Amino acid sequence: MSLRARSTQLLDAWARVWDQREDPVVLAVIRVLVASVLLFDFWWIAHLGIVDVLFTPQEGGGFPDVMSRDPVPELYRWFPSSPSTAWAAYGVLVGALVCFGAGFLTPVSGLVAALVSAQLAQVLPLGDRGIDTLLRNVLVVLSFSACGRRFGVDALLFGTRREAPAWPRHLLILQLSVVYFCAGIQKTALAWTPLGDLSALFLILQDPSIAAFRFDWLSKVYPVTQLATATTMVFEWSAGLVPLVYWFRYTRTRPGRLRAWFNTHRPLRGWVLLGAALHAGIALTMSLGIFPFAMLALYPALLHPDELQRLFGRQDRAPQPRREPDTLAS
Amino acid sequence: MALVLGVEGILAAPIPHAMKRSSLNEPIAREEIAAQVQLLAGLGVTVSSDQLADALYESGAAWAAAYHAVVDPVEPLLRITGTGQGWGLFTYPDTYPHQLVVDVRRSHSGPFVMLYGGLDPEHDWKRDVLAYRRVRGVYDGQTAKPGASWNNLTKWLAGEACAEDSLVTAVRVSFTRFHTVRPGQAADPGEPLRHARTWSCSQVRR
Repeated sequence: MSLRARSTQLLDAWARVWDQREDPVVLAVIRVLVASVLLFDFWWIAHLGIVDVLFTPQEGGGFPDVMSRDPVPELYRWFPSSPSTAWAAYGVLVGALVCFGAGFLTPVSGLVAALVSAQLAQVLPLGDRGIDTLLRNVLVVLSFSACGRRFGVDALLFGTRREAPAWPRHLLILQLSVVYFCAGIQKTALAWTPLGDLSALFLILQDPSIAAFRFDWLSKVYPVTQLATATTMVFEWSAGLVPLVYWFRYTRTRPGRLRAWFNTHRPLRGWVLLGAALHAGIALTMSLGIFPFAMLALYPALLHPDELQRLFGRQDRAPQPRREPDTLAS
Repeated sequence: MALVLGVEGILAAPIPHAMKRSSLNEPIAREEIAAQVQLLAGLGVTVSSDQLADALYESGAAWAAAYHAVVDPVEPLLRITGTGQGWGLFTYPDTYPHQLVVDVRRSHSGPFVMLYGGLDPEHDWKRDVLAYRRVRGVYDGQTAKPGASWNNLTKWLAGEACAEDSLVTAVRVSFTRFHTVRPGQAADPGEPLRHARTWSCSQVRR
């Protein structure tokens, strides 16, 4: 086969991988969960009474020294550095998130939420964590999806869609895999390894800024923390295999013992349960705010829409003829 | 799609974005480098802590330069959307963690008494606010070299304490640094009053 023919074949295969179609119901569920988590976080800020001090420049009485930075965020280049501006941005963001969660003008409301959140992140970078970046990534991806056409006002206004591009869900799977795998490979401190006695979680839980409670007694169950450290590393490193699991599913009719093993034993289920347990552990022992809940809000992406509907005992439409999963096999 | 995935892949790669030689002199870095020197010695490679730190700095700086060559052209888009792919979570457990402490004085010459002290259940003034992740980020990020945000945070806390209790005359906000070690190891003594800021109520009353 000529190089040109081979290249064309590869490009066709690449296009087919990303050009699959499915019910956007999973994306709709993620839309609602992500909006709920973010709305809770922003409601909590208002509940604590710190909207103005978090997002107003020091000239207006807040924490951020934003006006001396280069570049100054557009929010305070275009509007006065006062608490009113901070409250206005907060109001726009919350309004956009409510619309996004309700699936109302979803592409616009999602992008507005991401852009205003990005402005607030620039105003107070120290207060913006990795989870906020991740959720903005998700907002942008969902804004370009049909997530508002299921369980949303957009579905009422413009019609429900039962088939839409699947690439946004596939990107979210890739994103989850990258988050965990990169977190794993960057854990280069010896404390995460047997060379450092797998002491990482024990040490982290002694940090008064991180721990949810005092863990003075933790030395009595030190081996449990070592086991949890090792489990965390196994979970995060194995996240690199998640795309492979989906690839094996996609090409399930091809030969290969590894492919057959993955498709028969479904190790992804165990991995998902381990991830849920890890985040439950974080939620119970660490003071990391929305982090564990926001991560779990993305887990539905790991389910095919049919799997999700089976999970809830619903199959409210005539089964669609399934596209041959091994279209790349040729 | 290929272009987006390519750029995002580089963003996600565990490459340092900037290197400062001085950051390798921080206690946590020194401890980690010392452990690696010991590990290398076990493998028959003799190297001093300073030599290893220099080598790490030089290779890190080269990677950082390569990263910027690729990412800088798309940086404005990343900045405006607040998106990215940096996922270091507890990369290095902090073995010298800091605990925020808020003390108040109720007379002009009396002693300071603690209002807030990290996880201390008896000193939990404004715990919900101070434990909130965005506020924690403000002071957690100031433990090495406090900047303007640290002054602003401490001044605000002082204003709140003075407003709540008319007997308070001054407020001191500081860190106590601890050394956390594995069971059976000896820890350095705690170091209180790091980066302390003291505000009189006349300075901060609104």
